[in-house]
Amino acid sequence: MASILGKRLLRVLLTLWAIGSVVFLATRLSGNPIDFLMPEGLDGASRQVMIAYWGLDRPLHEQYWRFWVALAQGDVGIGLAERRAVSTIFAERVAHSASLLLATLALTVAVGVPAGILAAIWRKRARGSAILLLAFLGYATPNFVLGILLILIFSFSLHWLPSAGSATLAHYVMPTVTLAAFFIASLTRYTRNAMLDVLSQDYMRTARAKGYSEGQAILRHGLGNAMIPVITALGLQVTTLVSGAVVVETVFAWHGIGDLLVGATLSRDYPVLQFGVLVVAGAVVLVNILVDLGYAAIDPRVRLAEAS
Amino acid sequence: MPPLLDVQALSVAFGKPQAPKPALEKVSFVVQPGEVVALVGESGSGKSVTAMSVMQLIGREGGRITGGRMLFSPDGAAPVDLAQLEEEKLRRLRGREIAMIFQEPMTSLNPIKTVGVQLAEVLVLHQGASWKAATAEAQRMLDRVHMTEPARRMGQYPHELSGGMRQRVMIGMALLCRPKLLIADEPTTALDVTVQAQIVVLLQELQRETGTAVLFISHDLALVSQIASRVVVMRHGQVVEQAPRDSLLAAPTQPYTRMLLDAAPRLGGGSPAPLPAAAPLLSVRGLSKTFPTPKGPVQAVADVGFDLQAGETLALIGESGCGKSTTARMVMRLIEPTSGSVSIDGRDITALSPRQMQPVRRAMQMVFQDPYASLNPRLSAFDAITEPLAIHAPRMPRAERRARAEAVLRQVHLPADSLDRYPHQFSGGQRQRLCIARALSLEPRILVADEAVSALDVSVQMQVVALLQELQQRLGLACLFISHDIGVVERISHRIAVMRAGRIVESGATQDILRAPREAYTQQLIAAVPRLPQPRAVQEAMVPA
Repeated sequence: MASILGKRLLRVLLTLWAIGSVVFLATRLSGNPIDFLMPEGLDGASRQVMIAYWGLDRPLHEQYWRFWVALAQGDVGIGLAERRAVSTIFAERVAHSASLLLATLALTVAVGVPAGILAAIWRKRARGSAILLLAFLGYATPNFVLGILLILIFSFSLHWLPSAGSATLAHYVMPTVTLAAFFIASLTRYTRNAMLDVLSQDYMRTARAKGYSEGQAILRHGLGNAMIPVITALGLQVTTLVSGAVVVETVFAWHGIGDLLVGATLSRDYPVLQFGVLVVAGAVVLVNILVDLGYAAIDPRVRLAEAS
Repeated sequence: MPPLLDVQALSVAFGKPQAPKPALEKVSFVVQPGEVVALVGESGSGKSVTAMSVMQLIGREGGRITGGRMLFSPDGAAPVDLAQLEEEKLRRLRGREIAMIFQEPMTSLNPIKTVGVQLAEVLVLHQGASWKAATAEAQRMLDRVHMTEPARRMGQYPHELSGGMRQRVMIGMALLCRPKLLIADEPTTALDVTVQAQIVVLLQELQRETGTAVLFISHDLALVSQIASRVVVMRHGQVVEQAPRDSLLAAPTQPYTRMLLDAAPRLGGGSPAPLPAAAPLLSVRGLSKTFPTPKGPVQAVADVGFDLQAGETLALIGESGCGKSTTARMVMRLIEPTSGSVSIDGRDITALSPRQMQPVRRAMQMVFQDPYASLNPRLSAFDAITEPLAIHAPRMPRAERRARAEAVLRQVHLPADSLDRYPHQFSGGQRQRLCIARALSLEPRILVADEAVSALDVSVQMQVVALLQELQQRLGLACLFISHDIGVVERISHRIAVMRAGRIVESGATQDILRAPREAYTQQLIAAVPRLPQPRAVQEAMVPA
């Protein structure tokens, strides 16, 4: 396990380096960033001062080096809109986003996996088809539509739940449900397919021949095997989850990173955007490590292949 | 005392109740306590359906018991009808009173749980044992099924064990609760002959020790004749004949049983005589293949060399993993050799570019083991047969292609009107004929058959072997015949090369190798082949007057 972790960390550092380099180059290739950062009609002298201040008159390799040194020192610039350190802005918001994502993930797994298993067991019954139909609806409904629909029903009509902000647990209900709906739906379908596959495997027949009931056989021998492809699918969807969070945070005025990035894009807040891309990329990479570790934890064949 | 298992007029059907497809019709047989009974039949005879019905697991496979009784009475207790017993009580019988081992040792164990856990859980489930006690008991069982280093095996996963070891684990698992009845469904079919012989010895030994009755299911009459005291022959879901082993083998009353006995490959049936020496068509020299693996390079084939002339069949035999298939694939240039040469008419083909290789491929075609998997289900017989023509003779007019397809179809004795049918509309034997027809459509000079008859029933096997021989005589085909089945090899090949661990250890004329093998390994291989006892007439004739 330790050697797997070591290899993965090395890969993470390489990935982050690549992403950082792309971000660095992209901001410089799309013209002089100063022209985006400063108000229009800036006079030539002030423009030169700003270029010198940002170090944009230095050779590219020197800028590249300073970019990484600054990043390593935690100096990621100053947000133009809020005129505060970007690191501070993110620090305030990262917990909000992370808690929303974790709540979504927890809800997704808690509902999607059992629903998928039941849909597989009930594949020939109406209940199984009903689960699939619900999953199809969840799959097909855009999250902003669902979010606005929930706000209309539960905030405006019934006054049960708050429609904006993230202060209390009640604030979590609608954003989490909105964000999770799509992922519950897709996880249900993945789990169902994986489970159907597992149910017809020979080792399940062995488990039944041992005297296990169907439920016991599924819990003891089916679930772990079915989770192997499901974990892969879940890992692949994390990027979709992040982009979904951007929309949902905006709909529910959730003070997270998605909301911040939407604002930064509209106001061309380059330092914030640049760091935001790195943070999101880092989060995706992190989840992928977790997926790989989950793999190795479940499947001994993976452990063996990785260890050698 | 009542019999342990008394199956009376058992009928099972698949499909919808409105349109049932019968799989078993009024099957009756008994198993006495401590007795070994064999169910024998070809694929589709209903022998596995019978096994799954006794376990009452047939519902999971989509079947329904539509009639009959299965009276089970352990230790002379009042019989219960397994066909009527509620699920709750059945679960208490399964794995405890009636245990089962399956054909596929590779897939019948859960890949993500250790051997120890999969064994011990049976005791935890049925005897309420603690995990600690169950684990200790499970380890003793591994010792009883003669696993080396049982303590270490407990912590290993199935993929770390060989096929034979996995089947030992399955047997141990089945015997843990000392069942009264053990159902063994083709327990050795997926194993090499030498491993098969070991597993049969183990089963016999444990059966004698524990007094467990065994219902032994197999397609192999010769194997069954070694282990069973009574034999039930099944066909098309019905019992054809049942009798004590000796009388069944000596004097079968039914023509089907006699046909099975005749078709069973047995050694000593004679082989084609070696051909007079001639210039080789295919010549292989110093062929080697090394595969890189995470644990370092593995040499799959090492310094293999042989010649094959037109009209000749050379058999490559050996256990799984010995490099037979890798050799065949290198000859076909489906994989690139690490070193060595493959020459056709004296021209080395290993260095040819893909474009130069194209005309050469016409001369060599291959037939694979699994006729179900090697035909594209979406291509009709015509499309499958003429696909090679589309590659090698794209300008051939459609009418000519059709004529060619009809001609090869006739050669493999399939009706010409089957050209427009799809693979699922053919039986297993017909599909393999289709695969052979596909290989023949280019009029190759060399045919490489990789376990081409291994997946077929004995009666079908015999027909396909006869077909290959007929085609060889008519077309002068050179055939590289890869097989683990020595009975079939004797029947078809002029010469044999025995492979072990990537090398040819011995080669020569078929009868020389089979009658007087020089290498200990070859002797083991031949000795392990199950044989039918000689018919009494032959035995008497052999006794000197």
